[in-house]
Amino acid sequence: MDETQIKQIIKRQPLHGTALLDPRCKILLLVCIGFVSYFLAGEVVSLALMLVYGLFIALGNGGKWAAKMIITYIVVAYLNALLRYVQVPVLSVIMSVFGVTVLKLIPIVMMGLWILRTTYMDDLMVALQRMRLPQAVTIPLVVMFRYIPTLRIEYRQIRSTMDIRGISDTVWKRVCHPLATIEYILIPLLMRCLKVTDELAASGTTRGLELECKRYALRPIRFAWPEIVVSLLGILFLVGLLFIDQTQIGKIILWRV
Amino acid sequence: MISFQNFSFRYEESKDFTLRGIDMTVRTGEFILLTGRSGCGKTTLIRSLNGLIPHFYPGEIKGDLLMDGHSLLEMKPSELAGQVGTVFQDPRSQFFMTDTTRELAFGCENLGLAREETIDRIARAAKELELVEYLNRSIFALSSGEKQQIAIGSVYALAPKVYIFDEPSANLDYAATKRLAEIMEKLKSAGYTIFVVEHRFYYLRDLIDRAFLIQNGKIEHEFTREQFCSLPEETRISYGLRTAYPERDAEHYQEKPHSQNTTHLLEVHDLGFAYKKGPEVFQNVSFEAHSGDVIGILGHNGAGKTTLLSILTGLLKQRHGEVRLDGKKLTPRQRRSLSYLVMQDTDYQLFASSVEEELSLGMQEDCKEKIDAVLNALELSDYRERHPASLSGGQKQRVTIGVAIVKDSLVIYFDEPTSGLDYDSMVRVSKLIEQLSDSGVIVFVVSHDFEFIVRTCTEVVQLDDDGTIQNQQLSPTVLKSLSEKYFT
Amino acid sequence: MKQKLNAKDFILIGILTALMWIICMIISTIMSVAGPVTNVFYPSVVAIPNGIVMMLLLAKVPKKGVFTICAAIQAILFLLVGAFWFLPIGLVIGGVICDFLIMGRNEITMKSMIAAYALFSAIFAFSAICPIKFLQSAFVGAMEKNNIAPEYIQGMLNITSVPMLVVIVAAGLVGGLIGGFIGQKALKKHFIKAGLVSVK
Repeated sequence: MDETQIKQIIKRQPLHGTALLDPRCKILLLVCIGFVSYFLAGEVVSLALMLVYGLFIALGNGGKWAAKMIITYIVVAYLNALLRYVQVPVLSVIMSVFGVTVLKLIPIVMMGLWILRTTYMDDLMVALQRMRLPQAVTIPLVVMFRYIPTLRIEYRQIRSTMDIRGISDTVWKRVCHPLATIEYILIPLLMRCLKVTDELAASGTTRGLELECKRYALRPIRFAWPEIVVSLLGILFLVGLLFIDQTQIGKIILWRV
Repeated sequence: MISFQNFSFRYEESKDFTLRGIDMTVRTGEFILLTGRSGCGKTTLIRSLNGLIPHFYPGEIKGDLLMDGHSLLEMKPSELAGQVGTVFQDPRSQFFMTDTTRELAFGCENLGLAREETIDRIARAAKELELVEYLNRSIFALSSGEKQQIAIGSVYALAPKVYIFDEPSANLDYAATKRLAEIMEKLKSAGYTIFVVEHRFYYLRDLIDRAFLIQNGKIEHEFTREQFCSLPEETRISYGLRTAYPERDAEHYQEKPHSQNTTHLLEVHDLGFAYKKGPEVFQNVSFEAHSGDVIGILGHNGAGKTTLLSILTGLLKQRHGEVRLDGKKLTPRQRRSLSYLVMQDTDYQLFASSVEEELSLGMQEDCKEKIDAVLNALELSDYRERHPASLSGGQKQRVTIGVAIVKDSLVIYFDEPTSGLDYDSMVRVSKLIEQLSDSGVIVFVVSHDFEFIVRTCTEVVQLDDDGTIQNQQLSPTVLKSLSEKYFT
Repeated sequence: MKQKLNAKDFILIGILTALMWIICMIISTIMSVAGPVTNVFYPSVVAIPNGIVMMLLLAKVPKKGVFTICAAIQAILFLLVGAFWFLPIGLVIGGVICDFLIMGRNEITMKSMIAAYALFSAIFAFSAICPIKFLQSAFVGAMEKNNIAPEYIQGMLNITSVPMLVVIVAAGLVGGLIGGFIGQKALKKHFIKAGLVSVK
């Protein structure tokens, strides 16, 4: 295989559509949704927010994910509506608060996790650098995203040793000695963290991590026309929702059982 | 050209100099092996080459270190990034990105190279090092060997003149080691200067130009390839070096008598396992083991050795089949209580704040005398009060073995017990396993280390990629076929 | 000893913050499922295991800026998983305050570490729970739609009343103190004994 073919492979994108937008654009939209979602009271407008952004995500490798979250949303909304038939003192109030919070949370979670899945780490580093964020933020963030999956593997390794050795291996022991359990899990994990830090840092610095040159990602990262249009449309839509929420439409009750 | 001129170094936190008066001149294009016992200073030596010393690990320096006439000591590791490339020991903790292509590009992006230049470079790296099939994949889905190759590719893309490998084979199986040797051969023939720090150097025997034996921070001997590979057995052992020709061990193999101890019988019958939604990892695995047997479990990375260990130790439940002890079927919980697993990474296995406490952890009854005896047997009495994390790798491993003995485990499993160990430590582990076997414990060893297997095991179980299994008494013929599989 | 933070410090901050954040997520999920009353106290419970991690981080990197970076990273992550915007902002402000008021002035000692951590966890509790106050109208509206009796709505208002918020913040402070204390014990028992860190 010659180098031109390999370059083709390198440039090939498994991502398409909205997933390829500049990370800054995606993050901007997320922040706006986060801001608006909590202030939308109307059920119709909340559902509209969910559906429109679900569509937005579906246009960028997130079809299944969006569908899953929209279904979850509808189920939670119905369950919440069911509460009026269950008049248990205090509990139903509390459940209602809980349900409302979850409903507000779902669109943001949908968008947030989609961004995580569809953003290349180097695009993110470049975007953060262009936002004039210092290395103090970019390096820990990138390390985090890379380390969280590893953390699960390391936790499992520690737990298997604990099981074999009979240390805090049953629910009973864990309930009786919660602090000891925390110590037995955390101490080896932290020891491991210190070691991984040393090795990662050595590997990073010898590959020029500390240099603060202007970075270029494997694909162009630019806040260009598509980003501007998408951001404007996204924000206009959200502002529109806030307005509609004040009108009669905001008072329509959608979720009845 | 690189020259160490009467170079000495002392780490900030230690009293003594780790390196003392190193004089060494290496010509461009040479392939240098640095070897010696653990803690002899070879890692410190290469840390000074890639700039980690003195900028990352501060300390006191005497003498000078020149590369092409410039002192390396004033340059930061990041300034050296395009000149000296380092591949570290553990491929799992070397990557920053989450997918392979970006990882290859990581160094170039740090240097601020233009997009087209970066793509050119990683395309060249992928071509030269044959990494095309790994492009655009998630790093987390790669095996250690594949991660290692990506790490080398990422360094290659930076186009350094000097390559440094710090125990690169410690986490690799035989196939991956072979692949590593091929890559190194390519780098060598392209004219790069290469430094390798390694204990198990058999795979480098056709590549090295010179080998340096380091002892106590000094260069004790310098060898040419011919001298180094033909060191007499006694001399080699007195230097604490591994063999360059592990397959010769197979020829001199003396069959170990099969254990006559019939106290316990562990039977594995028709074992099979598959992860949820996944294909079968293996099926129809059957074998049996008597008290005192030392059984080597062999197979490529990914053949299911770790999964098999997890099932045997009771951490996973088998899909079908059963494990019996003396005819009685064992549940996973029972298996957990009678077995012990010594992991490759001892970090995960040490919980307490002193060695003594570590041994008594999880024990119900008072067992002070037993602990004393175990500490003595493992030569750990002097470290009784020390924190396990402050011990050396070999000592930590002995502590975990001690835990297994205190626990009265009937079956002890070792996962890669000799990775990164020098000759003396390897022999020590082997002797310990022999003692365990004499005391009637059934020992299973997962290992890629041929020299160690020949020395230690009485039987081998081979897991093949297609999930089938072969169970054989270790004999010269079996070893012969194994060594052919591994070394040719 | 005032040094600038270097790449190694950033990596350690990243790794340990990842750990703290995962712990926070696990505990808050468990406590939310267990019931909304326990939910409001999750910051103070989270502060206990995280105390061990934070004490190690502060001991290993005794430099100015650690709190701010750590808080900023957590803030970004909270933003990604849909926290109310008040929480990230509160976290960053809390981080800056802890950094400059307590750690900035003199050498980092065990005492100042614990004080800063307790303050930080109180601020965390405040910014995590306070939004309930902001969202009161939304909840009340939703409950009216769901035909829930007015006396229950009154009960809901009581839960989010000011004294309750004070209790929650105080619990955060106490959780921080306990976490810091346990963290320092663990630090002495393990990391200092093993020679991995040293603190005055």
